[in-house]
Amino acid sequence: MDEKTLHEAVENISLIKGVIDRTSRSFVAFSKIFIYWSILFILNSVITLLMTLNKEKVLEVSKQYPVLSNQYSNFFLIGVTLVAFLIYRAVSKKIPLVGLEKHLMKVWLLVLAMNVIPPKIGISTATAAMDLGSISVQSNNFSIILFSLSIALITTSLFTGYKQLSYAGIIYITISVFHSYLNLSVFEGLVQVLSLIAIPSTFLYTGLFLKSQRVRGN
Amino acid sequence: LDVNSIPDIFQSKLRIAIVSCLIMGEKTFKEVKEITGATDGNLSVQISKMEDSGYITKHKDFFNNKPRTRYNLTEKGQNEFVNYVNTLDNVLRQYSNKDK
Repeated sequence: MDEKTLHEAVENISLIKGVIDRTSRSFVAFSKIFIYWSILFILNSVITLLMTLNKEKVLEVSKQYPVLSNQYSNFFLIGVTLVAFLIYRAVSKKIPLVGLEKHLMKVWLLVLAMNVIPPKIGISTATAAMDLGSISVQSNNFSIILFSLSIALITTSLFTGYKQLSYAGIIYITISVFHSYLNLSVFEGLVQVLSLIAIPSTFLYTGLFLKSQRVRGN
Repeated sequence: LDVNSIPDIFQSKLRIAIVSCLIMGEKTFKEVKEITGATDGNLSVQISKMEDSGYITKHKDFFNNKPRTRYNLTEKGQNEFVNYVNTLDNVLRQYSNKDK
């Protein structure tokens, strides 16, 4: 048997194996994207936390460069979303997303886009004499973050048949409703922490869960 | 690997990829294209050849008011693919036995 024949056989077997791997509903590309996204959003949360802890310094920079600082958070969020989209493109180029995986990924991308849209808050005062400098406005989109993530989790669960993702979605909806309709100011500190970790931890959980299902061969 | 013993269908890498992809179940033209990474024209030509040889069947329908073409591997296609994989397996076994 010559080397050429052997080389040809090995080449064809690896081709068949590669195609079957890509074709099987293993969610391999799907889980990879989630794990990379979780790393990206952990970094985003760390930077947000550092900015919150150094409010005074951030304010100083804001005063020095008002044009840049007003748009900074918006640019930063758009940048993170752009990187997330590039990760999606790069992974799906290597391991193409097919059929169901592709459609589910679109749902997740929309949820991601929804979460990086900054809230617009307007303040109007009854009298011009009111000192706007003394007003402190705090916005919190924790409920919206959780509810949007639950939509993506439940949709993924319905189409893949993995009930665990649905259970996580139901827990998210419950927390979201409680947070919105009950005045639980005692837990505000906890809510702030959860707001920071909700997105990355959901991506990490979904990614690792789908990866584990692949390992088990489900 | 005796070239003469291998069916003509498995003489092309793209056709091997198409059969490997369809062995996992029905696929649309778009899905086969995404998996194999082939161009529309090349894929159409190879699929037609395989259809003429009785390896795959084609079903045309409408999905969301858009035409859709789905492909399936025939029994002949499945059997020939299994035989082909067995042939490749034998080649590797012979080589490893020779090594020992």
